[in-house]
Amino acid sequence: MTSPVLSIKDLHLSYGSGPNRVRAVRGVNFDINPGEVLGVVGESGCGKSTVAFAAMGYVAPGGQITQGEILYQGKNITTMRSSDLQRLRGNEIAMIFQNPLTSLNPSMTVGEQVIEVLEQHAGMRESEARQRAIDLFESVHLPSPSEVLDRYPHQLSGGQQQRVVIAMGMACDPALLIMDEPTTGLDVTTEATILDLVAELKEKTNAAILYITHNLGVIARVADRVVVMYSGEVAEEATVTELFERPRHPYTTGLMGAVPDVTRAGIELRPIPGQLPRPGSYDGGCAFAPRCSYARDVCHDEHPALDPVGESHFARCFFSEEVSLSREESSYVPEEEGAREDSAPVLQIENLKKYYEQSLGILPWSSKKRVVKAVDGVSFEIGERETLALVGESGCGKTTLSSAIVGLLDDVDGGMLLNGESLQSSVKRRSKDQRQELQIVFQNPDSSLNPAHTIFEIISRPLKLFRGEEVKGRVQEEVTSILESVNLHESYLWRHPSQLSGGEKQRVGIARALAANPKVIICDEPVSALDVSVQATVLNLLKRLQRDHGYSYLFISHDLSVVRYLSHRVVVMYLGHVMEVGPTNNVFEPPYHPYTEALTSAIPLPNPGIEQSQIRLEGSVPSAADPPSGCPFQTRCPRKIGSICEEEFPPLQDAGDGHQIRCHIPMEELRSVKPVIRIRDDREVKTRDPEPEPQSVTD
Amino acid sequence: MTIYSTDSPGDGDLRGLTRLNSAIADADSGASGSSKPPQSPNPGGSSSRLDETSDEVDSPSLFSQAVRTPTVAIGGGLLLLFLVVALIAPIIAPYSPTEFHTARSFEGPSRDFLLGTDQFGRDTLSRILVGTRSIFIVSFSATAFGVVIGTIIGLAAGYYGNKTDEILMRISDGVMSFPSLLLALFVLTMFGPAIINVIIAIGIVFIPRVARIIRSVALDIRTNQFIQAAEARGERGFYIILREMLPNAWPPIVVESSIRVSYAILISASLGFLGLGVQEPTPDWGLMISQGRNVISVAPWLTLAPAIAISTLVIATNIFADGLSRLLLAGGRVEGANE
Repeated sequence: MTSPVLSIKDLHLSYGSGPNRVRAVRGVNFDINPGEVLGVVGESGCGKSTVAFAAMGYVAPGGQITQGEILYQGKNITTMRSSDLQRLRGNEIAMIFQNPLTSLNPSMTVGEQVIEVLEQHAGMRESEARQRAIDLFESVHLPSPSEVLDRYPHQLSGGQQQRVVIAMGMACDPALLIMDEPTTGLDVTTEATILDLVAELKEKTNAAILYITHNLGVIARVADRVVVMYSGEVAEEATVTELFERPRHPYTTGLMGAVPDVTRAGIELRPIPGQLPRPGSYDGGCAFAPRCSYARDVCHDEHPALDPVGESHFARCFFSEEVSLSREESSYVPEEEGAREDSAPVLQIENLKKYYEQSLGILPWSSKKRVVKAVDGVSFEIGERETLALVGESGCGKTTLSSAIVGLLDDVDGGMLLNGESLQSSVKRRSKDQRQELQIVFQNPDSSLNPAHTIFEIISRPLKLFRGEEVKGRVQEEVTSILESVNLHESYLWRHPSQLSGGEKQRVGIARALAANPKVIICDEPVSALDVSVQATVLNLLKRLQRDHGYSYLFISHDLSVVRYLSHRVVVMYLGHVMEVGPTNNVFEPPYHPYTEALTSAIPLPNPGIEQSQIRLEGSVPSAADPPSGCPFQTRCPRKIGSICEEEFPPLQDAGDGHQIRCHIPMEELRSVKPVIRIRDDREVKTRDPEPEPQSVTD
Repeated sequence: MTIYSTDSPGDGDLRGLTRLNSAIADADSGASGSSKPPQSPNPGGSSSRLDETSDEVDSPSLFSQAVRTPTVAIGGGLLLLFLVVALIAPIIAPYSPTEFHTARSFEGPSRDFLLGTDQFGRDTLSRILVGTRSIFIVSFSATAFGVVIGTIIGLAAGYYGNKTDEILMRISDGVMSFPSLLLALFVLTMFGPAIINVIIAIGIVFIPRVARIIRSVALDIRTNQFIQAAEARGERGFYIILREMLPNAWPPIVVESSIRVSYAILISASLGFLGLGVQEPTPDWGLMISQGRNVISVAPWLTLAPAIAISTLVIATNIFADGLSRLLLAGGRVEGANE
């Protein structure tokens, strides 16, 4: 057996002192062997990043290691002199962070930065270092490495920047690579390529990789072994297949039940009740007990140990025997009825265009201008009680589109109809009724709720504005009942947003939209800023509200798993155009648009038992200021069929059932594509209702 | 942060440094459990990930924090002392500030006149004490006038942007291109020397300066989505400015006001010195210096006493302002745009 590269033994770490002491990490143990990827998964405040930094010998200001040791190849990092530590970092231990831009110096070319590292740490001469830098860039699959060398960080795309940072980290052949959420800010297709790269590096270099993330799907894809952390402790440790097949800790099963999974459409998500504990809050019992459905008296009084529950499988639970995958227990919810076929659409968007003019000249009266086509001819409609999802990567125009619909943009071309009546592009020229019927929930409640107002003020404003007559004299009762409908207690009325947790804030954001009693609610990435165990609460809330009140949602998201869970129909956007539209189940099955196929194949699935096609997109989304000719997707399309793609804008082909695909490839060929997601034993994943697929397109 | 520089890897290793800096920032926010506003609309970055923990740490009240901040306590204490003096000056002053003791002019400090007398034999101490009133009235009123109007202009410029911003800011630039004292002199020569005109003159000097600061704050607040939410409801501009933006702008407004007060003290003293401020026989520190200047070799106390009074008050205000800005702008207490 090889000796571990890094071995953390009973690590305790606290911040502050005296009564305010926060015991952020309590008794963490794990080893990483060469050539192994150890995934550490947990939600915010669980101490995963603190452990990662400690592994580099770094403790944040005010923090101290109170107990335990961190052994790097047998040497204790916690007692090491800082000069020795410096040599270790960079030479033998490298760390890669979430946001590549904070790791790169904007005033130096990326080549200079890599060469500097090589000269400093490996003692290379410049010419030697330059050649090595080119090799490194090649090994992380940067296109034309010798050219990239001379670029500045801002001239590279997010994925390329992260590749440069990884190349830098690999520069001195580290024995240990620590990656802290390296793909979290990236688009899903870029994330997939970076994850492939991590797997490749592991094979090629035999480095030990400590991979930290909040995303179970990412863990399932990259890790060999997984450590699940909760409230500063290891809750469970197991190999990746063991963990996903036989989880033995209620928190792990809770997470799995709370995360939407495209392969499990229609299964009700089960949020973990309660909220995350404050970092280091600890009262002696099991840290998870207050939220645990298995908890009994003993759980609140005694602290469970991390006991072996199988071969190299450990769980910190008194009742690990009883814990089983919640997915088996959770009920299969029959697909709710979608939009009424006969009802008129509530919101219609017809050929919507929003162009921005950018002045290129230095002088304000310069006539040199270029046009950015953020949204270029988008049409769709939303029926009553329907959730229409708008999917696309950053820069596809989905946020511009939502702003346009809410009326925050001027000079929008094309038609918008609400209940059959035309909507002016500026909100100022819309009628009060129209403003009332169209509400929006923003992505980030930290920014969308005024920190100076109380929850009562936030919710009562639209109430008084739109329903003043109706609620006269009983505003407070009405606000209370709206709060209750989003599962918030009356006592929240006089709190300020800063006193609420993220999930609670987002529910206030939803309550504000509900207060107006709208018809259509535009949800702009409403769960992407939330922790996974809370995400499910908000998603289920949205579902329930729709069932009870018949709202229509325009649900904007980059997360296909969430879309699959929530929506009835999907619109896939790319560079301001609709590439595919159709019922959710149809969009996730062939025929696919090649872009949708790539998106689906990039979804990190929290289930290692499922096989997924490896379709990876080259390069990055082109600029909307200079879109490609012909089909907007032709520059990255893995199924490009020839010059027609470069010359002609593709037509929307009908695949039946309201499913349309904008592509030159004949429908028959698109139909014959293999499904992207398959169960390993080659059984077709049952992802749609057992109704027979229409054999041919009917007129 | 400098404490930790010894811990940073490799001299000249910029990469390591920037990494560590961001690490410090991340670890900081994780450690304190406070959710910092996200810098970029990343889809679900961990730094932009909302803190899902209940945030009910009992943070001490602003007042008790203020009292424990030495600069605020010392500066505020001194200011309070001056204020009390201003209020009860007539009671504690040994003589009436306008009472002539013609037989005892230009007398040095003595048991009868602790700070000596001027050419008419008026008691310097009494004049200093009562003079606190006019300096307080002028500097605080002028600051209030300048800050209120400057804030409204700044918020409007920041909110409306485009042409409104352009017009308001270019006018401000124009007004600011005059040296403050010259501008105040100009206003006073137009309207004549009176206490109300001094207040207006100093206020006009302040308006564009305050407007610039508040505009930059407003630009920041404007990027928050609660502004968009209000617009989508169809709220009018003045509602958004007064109800959505103003409550989030108060920390910089308070700090700006405290800095402005010390400038106001200096300008009003200068105007008094030039004879354009408060008129005889009302005691005024600037005017006292101006009158004492001619006899500085014979009766230096006539210049020194008001000069020391002015500088003490200005220093107290500055210390207070400095402490306030640390407390309100740099600390974690300010939510919203001004971190």
